Parts: sequence; C-alpha cells; structure tokens
Amino acid sequence: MIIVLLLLLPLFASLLLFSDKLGRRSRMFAFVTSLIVLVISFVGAYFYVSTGQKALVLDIHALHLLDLNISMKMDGISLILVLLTTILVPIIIASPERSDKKVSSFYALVMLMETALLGVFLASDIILFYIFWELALVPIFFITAFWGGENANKISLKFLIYTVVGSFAMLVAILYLYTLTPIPHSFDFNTFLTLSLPYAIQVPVFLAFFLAFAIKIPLFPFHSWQAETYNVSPVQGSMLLAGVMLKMGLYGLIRFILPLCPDVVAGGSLFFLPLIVFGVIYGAFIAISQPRLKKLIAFASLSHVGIIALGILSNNQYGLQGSIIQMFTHGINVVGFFLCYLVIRRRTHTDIIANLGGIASVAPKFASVFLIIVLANVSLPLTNSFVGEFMILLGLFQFNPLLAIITGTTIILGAVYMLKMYQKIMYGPTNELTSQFKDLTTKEMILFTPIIVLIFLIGIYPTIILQFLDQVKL
Amino acid sequence: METTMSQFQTVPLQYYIIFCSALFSIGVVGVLSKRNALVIFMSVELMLNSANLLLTAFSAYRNDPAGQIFVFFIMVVAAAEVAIGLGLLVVVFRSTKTIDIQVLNKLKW
Amino acid sequence: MQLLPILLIVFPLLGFLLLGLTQKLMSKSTAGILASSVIFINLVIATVLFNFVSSNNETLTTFLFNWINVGSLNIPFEFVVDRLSALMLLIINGVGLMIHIYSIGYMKEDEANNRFFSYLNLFVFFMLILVLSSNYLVLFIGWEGVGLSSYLLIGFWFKDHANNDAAKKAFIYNRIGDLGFLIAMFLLYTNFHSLTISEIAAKASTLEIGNPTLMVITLCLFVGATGKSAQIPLFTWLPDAMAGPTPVSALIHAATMVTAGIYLIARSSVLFVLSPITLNIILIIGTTTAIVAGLIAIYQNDIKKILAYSTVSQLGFLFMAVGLGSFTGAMFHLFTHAFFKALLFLAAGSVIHALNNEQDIRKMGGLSKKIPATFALFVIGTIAISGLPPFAGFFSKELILGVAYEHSLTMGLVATLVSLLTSIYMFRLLFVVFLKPESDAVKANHHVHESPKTMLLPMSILAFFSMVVGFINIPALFSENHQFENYLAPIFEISHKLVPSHETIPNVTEEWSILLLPLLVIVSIILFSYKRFVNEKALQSASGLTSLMADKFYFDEIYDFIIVKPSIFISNFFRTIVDQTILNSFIDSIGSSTLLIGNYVRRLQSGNTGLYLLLMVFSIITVLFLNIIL
Repeated sequence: MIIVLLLLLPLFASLLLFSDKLGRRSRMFAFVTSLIVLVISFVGAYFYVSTGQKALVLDIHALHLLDLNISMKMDGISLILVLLTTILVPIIIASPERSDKKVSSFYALVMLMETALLGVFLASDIILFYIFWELALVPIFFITAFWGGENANKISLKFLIYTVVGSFAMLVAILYLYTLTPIPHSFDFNTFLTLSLPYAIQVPVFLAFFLAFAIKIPLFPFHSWQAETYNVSPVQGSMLLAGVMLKMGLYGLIRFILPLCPDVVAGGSLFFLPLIVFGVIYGAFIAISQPRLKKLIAFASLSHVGIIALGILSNNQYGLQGSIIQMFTHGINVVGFFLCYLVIRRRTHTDIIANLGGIASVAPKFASVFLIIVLANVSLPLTNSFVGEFMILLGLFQFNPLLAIITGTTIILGAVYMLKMYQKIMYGPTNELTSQFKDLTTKEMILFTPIIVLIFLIGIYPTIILQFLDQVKL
Repeated sequence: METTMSQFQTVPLQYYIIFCSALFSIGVVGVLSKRNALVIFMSVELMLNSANLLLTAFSAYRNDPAGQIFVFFIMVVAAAEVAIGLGLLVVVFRSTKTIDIQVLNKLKW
Repeated sequence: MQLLPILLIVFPLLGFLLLGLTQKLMSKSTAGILASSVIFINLVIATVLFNFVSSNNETLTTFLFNWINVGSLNIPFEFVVDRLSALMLLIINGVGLMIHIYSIGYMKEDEANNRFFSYLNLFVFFMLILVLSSNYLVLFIGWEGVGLSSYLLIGFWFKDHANNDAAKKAFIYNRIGDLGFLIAMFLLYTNFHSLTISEIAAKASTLEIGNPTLMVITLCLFVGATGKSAQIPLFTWLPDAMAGPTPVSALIHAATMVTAGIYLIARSSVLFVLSPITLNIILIIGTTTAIVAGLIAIYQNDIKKILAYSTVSQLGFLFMAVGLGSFTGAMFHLFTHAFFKALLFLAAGSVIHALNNEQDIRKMGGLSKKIPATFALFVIGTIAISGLPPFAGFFSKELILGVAYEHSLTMGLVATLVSLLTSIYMFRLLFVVFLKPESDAVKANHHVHESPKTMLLPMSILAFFSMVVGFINIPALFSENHQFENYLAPIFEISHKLVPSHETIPNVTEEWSILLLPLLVIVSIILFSYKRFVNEKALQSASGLTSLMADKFYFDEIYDFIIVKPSIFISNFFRTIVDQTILNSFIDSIGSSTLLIGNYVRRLQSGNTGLYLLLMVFSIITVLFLNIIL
C-alpha cells in the first residue's frame, strides 16, 4: 500500500500539473504533494522499524506476457534512498528560483522525476528497474534543456546520449543474464541473485554494468558530462542530479555488481579501484583551482561519490555500510551546498569566486549556515559525513591499505579547496557586489533548517540511519 | 484437387525453377535498365509474380497448402502496393509532367 | 559523580549555543561574564573530579550512548576521568578561566565580542571531549574540533586576508597530521578490533618490544601529534597562528590545544614504550624542533612570534622528554608550561594593548616605567620559563634534564643547550621591550597605559601559579616527596612495568651538577644579553648565519616550492589540459566524428532513383552470395 502510494501520488500530481490547470498554484501544489509523499515514506520507515519485517513488498503480476511483473520491495537500502528522495524533493521544489517559463510543466517534471527515482529504488524486477532508470532521464533532460542557461540544448543532449550509451550496455547485459536464468526465465531480482556466474562471464557482465553505473555516478574518466550539465542546468536540476540521481548509479553497484560479480570485485584492487582512487584525487585537485562555484561543487561531488563507490567496491561490511550512509549524507550536503550557491547567485548574479568576498561581515547568519555546510563537506567529526567516510576508509583500508591512504589524502585536499573557496567568498573586505548582500530571510532560514538539522543529527546520532542497515548483508 | 496436383507434378520441378529464375532476372534487368517509372513498376511486379509462381510450384510438389496461402497474402499486398505506387506516380506526373526517373532526382538530402 | 563529566561538556556547549544564537541581542559585558562563568562552573566541577580521582585511585567512566554501532564496529560515546584527564581538566579549565576573564578586558572594544566568546566556549567544549574520551574515535572528534575552533579564532578578524591565510594554513597543516591519526586508527582497529584506549593498551601489553605493527601505528600517531603540536616538519603554522587575538594565542596556541599531541602520546604510552624506534624518532624530531625553533626565536622582531617560536621550542622539549621515555617529565613540564606561557602571552597582550596594537619590538623599549605591573608579571614569566629557581620552570626542566643526563651525556648537553636558548631569547625579549631606552615610537605615543584590572587580575593569578606550582614535585635532592610523579604513577604503571623506566632518581652529586651548571650558565647569559641588547645597536639587521635564523630557515619558502606550487600546477594541469582538453575533446570527438561521417555518407543520397535501385539490387545480390559463401 505504502509503495503504491509512494509511486502513484507523485505520478498523478505530475499528470495534473502537465494539464496546466493550476496556474500559479502549481508550485504550492507540487510542494504539498511532495510533503505528503515525505510523510508516507516516514510511515513506511516506521513500519519497517517497528514490525521488524525484512522488507515491505508489493507484487502484481500485471503483464504475464514475457513474464514481466510489477514487483516492488522496500528493504533497508531502498528505504534510506527513498527517504533521501522524499526529503530532498520538497526542499528542491521550495528553493526559490524564479523561472517564468511554463512553471507548471517544470514542477510536473520534478514530480515525474520523483516517481522515476522512487521507482528505481523500489523496483525488484530488473526490467522494471531499467524502465524507471531510463524514465528518470526524461524529466532531467527537459529540465536542463528548457530551463537551462547558455548552450543548454547541446549540453543536455550530450548528457542524454552519454548516459543512454551506458544504459544500453546494461540492457545488453540484462538480456544476456535473462537467457542464463533457469527456465522459466524471469527478470526477478531474486532469480538473478541465484545465478552464480563463472569468472569468464562475470568479467563482461561487470564491464557492461560498470559502464552504465560509472557514467551515471560519474566516475573518472566518464565524468565529462557532469560539470557542464551542472553548470547549465537550473539549480533545481543540479540538485536533483547531484542529490539523488547520482545515487542511482551507486545503488546499482550495490544491487547488481556486488552479488553478480563477486570474484571481479574481490580482485578489483588491481584494475578498477586505482582508477577510481585516481578519479577521487583528480576531482579534488581540479576543485582547488576551479574559478566558478557551481563547477567547484561538481568536482567536489566527483571526488565524494568516488569515495562512496570505493566503499561499495571495497568488498566488506564497513565499506558498504559506510557507503550507504554516505549516499544519504552526500545528498543532503550537496543540496545544502547548492542552496548556498543559489543564495549567492540570487543576490550577486555571479558565481565567479574571485569576484566575491567579505560576505561574512554583512551576512553573519548566512556565513554560519554556509560554514556548517562547508564543514560537513570536509567531513568534520560530528557532522554527518564523518561517520560514513570513516567507515568507508576503514573498509577500504582492510581491503587495500595503500589505496586507503591515498584516498585519505582527500581529507587534506578537501580542506584545501573548501576553505579556499569559503575564504574567498565570505572573508576579506567587501566589494561593490557584496556590500549590499542581504542576510538570509526567514523563508530561506526555514529552507536551510532541515539540512542543518540532518547534518548534526546524523553526525551525532548516526544510529538513526544505521538502524535500517541491520539486516543488510553483502 | 488431387489430380491437379499430380498433373502439376508431371512437369519436373527444375523447369519451374528455371522459368521463375528467368522471369525474375528479366524483372531485375527491367528495373535496372528502364528509365520509365511505370515500366520499372511493371518489372517489379514481374519479379513478385515469379516468386509467387515458385511458391505455388513448391507448394504443389510438397503437398503443402501453406505456400499457396502465402501467395494469396502476397497478392493482396501487391494489390495494395500497386494502388499506392500508381497513386504516387500519378501525383509525380501531375507535378512534373514526366515519369522519367533520371529527371526525378529531387529526393535527396 | 557519573553526571559530572557530562556537565563539563554540556556547559561550554550551552555557552557556545547561547552566545552564538543571540549574538546581537546580548550586551558585550554580559557575553563575557556568561562565557567566563560557564568556565568557572567547569573549573569547580573539574576540581571536584580531581579530588575524587586523586584521593581514591579509581577511574570514573560515564557512558552516554553508542555513537556508531554496526556489526562488529562499536564506538561508544564514553568519557573516562582518570588522573591524567583530571590533570588536563584542571589545566584547561583553570588557564581557560583566566583567559576568559582577561578577554573581557582585552576584547572590550571589538565589535564581534560575542562571537569571540562563543568560539572560546566552543574550543573548551572540544578540548574537553579530547581529554575525556575513552576511545580514539571520540578523541578524534575533539582533535578535529579544536582544530576547527583554532581555525575560527585565528581568522577571527576575517576582513584581513593575511589572518584568513594563517587560519587556513593552521587547519590544513592539522589535517595532514589528522590523516596520520586516521591511518593509525585504521591500523589499530585492524589489529586490535577495538578503538577503546584501555582495551588496546591491555591487548598491546602482551606484544613483544619492537613489534613492527606497533611501530607503524605509533609513527602514524606521532604524525598526528606533529601536526597538532607543531613539530618539524609541520610546525610553521603555529607562528602564523599568532594572527589571532592574543588571548587565543595564549589559550589555544600555548597552553592547551598544542599540547594535545603530548596528551595523545601519554595516553597511548603503552604503545610507545613498546616501539623504541618510534621513541628515537620522536627524540630526534623533538630535539631538532627545540633547537631550530629556539634559534629562530632569537632573531625575530615580533613579540608574539618570539613567544610562538618559544612555544614550538618548548613543545620540542616536551617531545624530547617523551622520546627519552619520561612521560611524567613531559606531563609535568606541560603542566607548568601552561601557566607561564599563558602568562607570557597575556603579558605580551597587555603590552600590545598598551601600545595600541604595536607588535614590533623594535618600536618598544623602556616600558618598565610606563607599565610597571605588566613588567613585573613579564619578569616572573621570563624567570619561570628560563628555569631559574624557585619558579615552576626550574622544577619541570630539571626533571627532564635529569632524564636526559641519565640517558647519555650528549643528550643531557643538548637538553641543556635547548634550555639555554630559551633563556637567551626570553631575556632578549624582556630587555628589548622593557629595559632598553625608549624608541622613538614609544616616545611619540602618549597613550601608553596600563591594562585594566580585568586583565591584570588573571595575569597575577597565573603569575602566582607560575611561581609556586613547581613545588609539587621537588627534586630528590631536597625532598623525597614526588607528589606529581606519584600522582601520575597509576597511569603509566603498565608502560613502566613493560619497559623499565629511565625515570630513576639520579644520585646526589649528579643532581647537583645538573642543577648548578645550567644555572651558572644561565646567569652569565643573562648578564651577557643585558649588555648586548640593552643598547641601541642591538637590533641591527642580521647577516650570514643569523640571517638564516631570522628568515626562519626558509621553511615556508621550501614548502611553498615543493608542495604548494606543484599542487597548484597539478590542479591547473588537470583542469585545463586533462579535463578540458584531452577528456572532453575525446568525448566530444566521438560526437563530432559521427557528424563528420554522416556528412560524407549523405552524399550517397544523390536523389537519383536509378542509382538507388542499382544499389539495392547489388546489395541483395551481395547478401545472397555472402549467405552462400558463409
């Protein structure tokens, strides 16, 4: 029931919004709907914890042709990502960017996106998963292309083609695996999980899946769509991309690569882990000299999600669980970061770091909020990202100490680029752009509140997330 | 029916094959060498019918009615095709006053 | 009793939140009083706890909640008060209270007074977590947290980018050390399956001396300590950190935070005594740092920088003590040093305050008459740090010197040299600032004024302690009563059992020579430097070897050349060449090559229907043939 509501509510809301009958109230409508969805997901979480069930399940054998069934499941990992989505979408809808063009369709797309994302996280049938996976591309493509900045068409097209190439590889792998399932063939996750593939088959399956996920996450060297897309996309689009959509790739790593290709993962320290580690360092280094705030967020994000991928692929419990927490916290932090960007952007109409400065002396509230978010991004203890990062590095260390140490240098590099950016934007003397900088309004404070609360809540009491992971096994 | 079949079978199968191949080749040559669209069209029909004939022949030899059923299908499709094709030719002729395919080179990028 | 450690944490946190959230609403004086009273309550609690643990030999454990609890990884939020942490509690809250009170006067005119006090309380909060924690990961919270407060306070006057750069530098250098600490924790967890300090100590004590894993672990911990406690090669942030307000320098960068490295090593003493190689490395690093920083201090002209290098040098001295295996000596000197170094910084702050933010000692001189109270306090501090009896520094230095001579004669001489360097730069400072004839700048300045009582009072209290605190551990020569050693004995009991300590009591003649020789030299040095520095020519520009010292041995320049510049180069290289040129153009070239090929292939679409037919037929024939062939 909960799963049905989770999926259908945003979908119907989206259809209603597309009909363009609500006019100016459409944003309010979208916001309220997303709040209802949030409450439903909380109820789901409550059931999950209180009844101690392994998962909430939905099974409808709707289409018997091709043995396709609508089968959904919400276990611990899904639940965390569902919560992430339902928490972030209201914030994203409420974040104040004025777009005069077709407001109603914009929010319709956001709601459609929510449906698709929830579908990806809940699906327990691989074709269903694939459908939602591709469906998620549609709204984000239109959001970027229509409401984006300069060159938006070209860049969003590049993003679309790039990710579709990856998805295609995945589709081939899925169909191939389907033929390997015992007769009667089935697309059910569980059937897939019972396959124990020989090493020679694991390698190509791994490569196909990995390509799809690595493009989506993105991992070095498949990241070149990322910075540009973030840059032209409207902030809400960037938030959806960085906050939730990237997690689809990481989720895929957990759901498919870990169980299907265990031998490849176990021997991974020789070929793909060094590549990811390099990507992590690479992203951090680029962020140091990045002149634009939005691109800096993109590269910082590249570095962070690389660490999460490392945790997943480090093939042990600590790394995996750390990664799952980190997926959640990274979503929160990056959306907070984008909100800060939005505040700066709306007031000064620029995001070139060198042109800003001295904001802290005119806007102390904003300075505190921004500082908290920056600190959460450099994973200071007692902020949310510390626990996850510690566990990931611990897991990676047990898998391969050298790689863990190299990855660990990002805590230094992270401090370098974050503090450098913060100093240039917030400290120093004011200039003509920033001297009239207004401090946060009450509305904006309310918008920031859930993010700040989550930063400290998870940092101080991570059990609140960790409790969902009790039953999650490798 | 049985007698018709046996009468068919008195002619060796090779004859049918050779005849149909010849018919088909004539059609191909016609398509390649003629400039008049109407003639090309007729040549295409010739090729189609050679295939039909062959299908019928095999059907008869193997005592399998499926081939003949297929022929009916093909004939229906061919009829539809002729209707559309001729319609197109008429439209082309009306606008250009010719059906010479060398002249009709507007169909390009 | 169980509740007290929690209260210790809660009060400063409440103070921070209250001050931080109501910045504009609260008047400045209220803010200062609120912040100070929080620390005062803390000091009372700390005293109670201190009495409790020193009277009966117990440790007090307070469990709050499980911080991380997944699978086999279980990190409780748990506090332990034993004799070591009780001692640190006294230092932090005692010195902290003095400095809070001092700041009420010192920061009176600053706009962001309330923000300042909120940060100070935040610092105390994290520092207390650091010393109270029962396991390394929670300790790490405090460890990073004090780094954060230090960052915020160094860059307190953030309108000037020089301050921000210093703050950023401090944070990043600390982070380098933190990476070492993190790796040490990973190793500890991998090898001992726990991060609880006492459990690890118990498990490690069964290992043999020189265990290679322990060596790596202790080295990594030491890397963490070098970052926080400003040792070579990570010491250059501390002098720069003087960009912060002077009370901050006194509290964070002299008395408390920088000693966290020593505290960490003392806490993990069991691990360290089992790794003699690490101890030797610590000894070498500590000695080098002590000498290098001492030499640099002699040729600096900024009053706070001199004190900063002095702190670095003293910290090096502490690490020497640790390297020699004398944890008690290190803790004792840490204890006394906290008082007199805080006093010196506060007195320097008083001088700076009197001269309206002038820090260059070349523009001072003759201040002994203008601000006599500050002068008197500064003299006490100087005598205490130089190790002249009967002030505190004498006793603690004597303890370490004794151990050094016990270790070897060379080591003893080196240690003596270090303490001599201390007296040279300190007396130079004293003479130039207070006794030298007035400089023109001082003459021109008619507003030289003594500091208010809120500043003098805490300084006097610190001065009092600097004088008397040494008597709690009088050398064997005069008394058999080693109160301090006995007090800390339970903490280092296991380590001493594992490795017989160097801290045996030297015999009487040795002790006399250890005492008297340095004293004689110190006195002569004082006389010498009085002659040298009190006249006008004293501060001419340096040349030759001395210029090397004046320029701080070019540490910053070298780091800039081998680390900072290459990093920026790599960053730009990655960004412009690799990312934008190579990768991006590769991806784009896939797209553009598709277009290009299409551009050629479309020419086939000539519009000639005959050609199309021909092609069609030929392709059919080809397909048929291929079908036959294959």
